[in-house]
Amino acid sequence: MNKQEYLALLRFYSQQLAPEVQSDLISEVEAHFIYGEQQGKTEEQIAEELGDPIEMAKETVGPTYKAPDLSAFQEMNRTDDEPRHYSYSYSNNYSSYSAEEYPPQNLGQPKAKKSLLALLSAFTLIVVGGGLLVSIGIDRFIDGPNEKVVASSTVESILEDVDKQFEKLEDLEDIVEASTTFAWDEENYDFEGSNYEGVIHMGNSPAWKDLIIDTDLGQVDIQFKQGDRNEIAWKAFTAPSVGELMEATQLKNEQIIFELDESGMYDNYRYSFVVTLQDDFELRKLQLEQELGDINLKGGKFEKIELQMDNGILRASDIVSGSMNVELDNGSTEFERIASPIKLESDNGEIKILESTHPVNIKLDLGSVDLGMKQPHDVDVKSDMGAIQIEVPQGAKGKYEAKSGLGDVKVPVSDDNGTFRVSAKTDAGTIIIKE
Amino acid sequence: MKEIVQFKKGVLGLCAMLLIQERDRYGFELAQTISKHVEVAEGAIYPVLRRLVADGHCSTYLQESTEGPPRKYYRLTPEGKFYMEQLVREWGVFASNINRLIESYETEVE
Repeated sequence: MNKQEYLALLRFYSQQLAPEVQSDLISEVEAHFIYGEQQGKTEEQIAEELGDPIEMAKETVGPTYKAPDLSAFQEMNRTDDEPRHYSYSYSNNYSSYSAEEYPPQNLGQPKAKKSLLALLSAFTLIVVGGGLLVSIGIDRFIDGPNEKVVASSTVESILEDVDKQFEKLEDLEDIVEASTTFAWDEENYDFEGSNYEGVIHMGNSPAWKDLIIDTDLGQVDIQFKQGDRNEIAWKAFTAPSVGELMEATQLKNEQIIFELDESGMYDNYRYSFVVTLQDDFELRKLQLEQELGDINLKGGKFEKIELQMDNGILRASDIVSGSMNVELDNGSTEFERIASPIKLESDNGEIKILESTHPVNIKLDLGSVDLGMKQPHDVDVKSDMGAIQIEVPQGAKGKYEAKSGLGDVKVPVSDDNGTFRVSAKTDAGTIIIKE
Repeated sequence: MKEIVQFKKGVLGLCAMLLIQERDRYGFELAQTISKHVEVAEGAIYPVLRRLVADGHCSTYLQESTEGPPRKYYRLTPEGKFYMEQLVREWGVFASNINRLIESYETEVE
């Protein structure tokens, strides 16, 4: 535990003391932390050396000591002012800290490793990007008809770019190889983590509006299902600092916020949430943020969904929502049966949306789009580079606009009075719209 | 072993007084020095120091430090010095008696 936690517990356990005696004791222990830190120790180390705060409190009070109930401490440390319509099961026990459960954290290395992972994703980006450039750029240039020469300056610059990228790639390969060896063979690079779980019961309370999950690294599974109550059951394999934070998560200002972004460097962390909602219960907002890892999202009914992802695959299916905003830096999506208008922006990645029924708006810097409609709806796709394929339902009469700066365009006969509009634009890449 | 814990607890006050008698010391210093000799949690010293003050065996004063917060120094009072000397004597008698008991037991075993 850290200094703050230690002092809070000491204060709690020593409440039997006269106030001036208590504050005297606490300020002395606080000073002890400061002196220890000056010797280069971590707060956790110092806390460990000081020993259990309850022992200190017990010894100071003497034989009349009566240990207060720890659950009262947890109750005290609730910060929300919400009426508590729900109960929460704590499995947290501060006095059970041990070296195994609370390994000393090496602060320098995870940072370094993190930047290496960033490098790895950059590597992927260049492989994917370079591959795309080659497949669409070179093909067009070599096999394309003569009139395409107009675009040759673009093609040349693209090819030059590809060359440069490949040069960089060679350098990168060495670095990546070195980094992966370093990252995965190093003896102390164990995936440190523990299992945690908990349930947040919401009862029939309408006070719950938003669910926000903010993660750094790892895989996140979230499943929504219908039931006779509202609750979130979760399980996690993660760092103790995160696990304990999760255990302390509760409803606050109509929101449940899981902050899981202290997981350091270990991408084997797993988070799984099963959210049970009563039949007519609709959440106002689902918000997910992820830096690296996959998100699997299934089910649920919302007013709006906001998803933000830096790296990884985002899978979502069987969702009903008023709106769905997705922002991706470098990631792919696999969406199926999303009954919601979708607005998606991505810097780099493959976008796959199947059995869609609601308007889709996509802005993409680099990557491909594969869209399969179940029912006719408006589509707007803009891509700087990459192939676009859109499948419309059989016999649907739509108004189609497709434009590629460099690449084949195949579009069915457009109906100006069509019931829906499909617009696809890319600076380089094939566009296919088909039934 | 519960007894070991009790041994250590019982002797902490004496250890602290011995160190303070040599020169005035502050809590952190005492905690570190004592835990070097006796294997106890460093935190165990603070309740002991408080009791020494409450019993009038030690007085305290604050002294500014160039590094970190002001240090709370412990000084032995004349009563404390007297008490400590008593304790040292008692400890000597006690320890030698116990040692004699152990020795006679060991001889029997052999």
